[in-house]
Amino acid sequence: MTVTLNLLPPEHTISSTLGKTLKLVRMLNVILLSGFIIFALGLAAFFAFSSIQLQSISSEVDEIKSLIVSQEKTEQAVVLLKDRLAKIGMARGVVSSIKIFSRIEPFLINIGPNSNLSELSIDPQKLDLSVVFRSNSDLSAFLKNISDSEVFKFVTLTTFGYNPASGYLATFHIL
Amino acid sequence: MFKNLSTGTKQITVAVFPLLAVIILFIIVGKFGLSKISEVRAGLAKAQKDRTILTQKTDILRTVSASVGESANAALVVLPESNPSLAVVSQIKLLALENSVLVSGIKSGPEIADKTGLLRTDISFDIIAPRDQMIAFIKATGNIAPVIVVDKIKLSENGGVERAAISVKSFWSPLPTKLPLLTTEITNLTEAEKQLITDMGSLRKPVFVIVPPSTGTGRTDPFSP
Repeated sequence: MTVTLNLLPPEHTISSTLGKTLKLVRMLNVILLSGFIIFALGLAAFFAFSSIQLQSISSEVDEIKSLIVSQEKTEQAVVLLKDRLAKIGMARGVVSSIKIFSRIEPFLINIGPNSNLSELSIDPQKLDLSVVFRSNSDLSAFLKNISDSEVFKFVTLTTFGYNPASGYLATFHIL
Repeated sequence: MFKNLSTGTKQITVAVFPLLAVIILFIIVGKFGLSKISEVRAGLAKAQKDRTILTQKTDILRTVSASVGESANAALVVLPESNPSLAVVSQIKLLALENSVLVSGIKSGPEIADKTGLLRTDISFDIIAPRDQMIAFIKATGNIAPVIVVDKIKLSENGGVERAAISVKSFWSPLPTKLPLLTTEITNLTEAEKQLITDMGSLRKPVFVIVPPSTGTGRTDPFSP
């Protein structure tokens, strides 16, 4: 038969509840400390891995940079070309009278040899045309041509006159 | 100091102290370590991005290196860096000669800041020619370099003589002064840009005569007889 001896003075004895709590706290200490060590080691390993990776990529980047520096002439040409192309695009975007001129051109060619293109004034937005037609048939043919065509939004006959010596003078405002 | 504490309290204190110490360490190491790691990761992400951009940049530079210089020179003729009035006038005269058009009264205006952001000068001139040749001449002005835009055309026929007063806009722009940063992305030429380069190829370029320096035919030593 075993006898449990407690030689501690009564003021040093602890209750069983406190004993259990202390045991739990000590266990928690061990777990937390192990966790901390794992965490710290993991952190250090990850830091080292990332640093090595960064160093390797940085040296790669430096290599490519030096390659680009050696191609500086080509880069300058690319920058210049892109700049010029953008600006040529801007210049070509400026509205030109050629567009409206191209649209009236077939009608100019069809003005008969007896008729006279008195005045043609073109700017990028509008066109004013004065034609002297010798005969009624020339005038009718021109009017039919221009009214049948769908190249212009508006054609306004602004003035119309007749002079027995020169013929019919018709002035158009075309948009 | 701790003499008055009971045994239970002492034992709890001794047991809890490492617990608190580990928690504090967790916080300190975690905060410091994670901040350092996030710093390195940010650097890594930037380096990876730079590497992608730079690799792409070298690929583009390698691809275009053969043709880009020629295209840049052609583009510089189409849109010069300084007032191209003389070249434009020369082109107009050549065009007139080809179309048997008589050109007179050529005037070039002052430098104007165009609303497009480019610099421009307005050039006006009169032409005399039969109607067909005049039309051919006007249409051909769209195919010359430096680039011009026909602004106004005033055509009249009087007594069998056909005249036109034409005003064109001629553009130029200073060259870019800075290269973009080394790590700035550059894009390859777009289809529209490639088409524009092809279009530029069909434009008639001005012909400049380069006068070679005269070779010394006189005495090399002016003091010797």
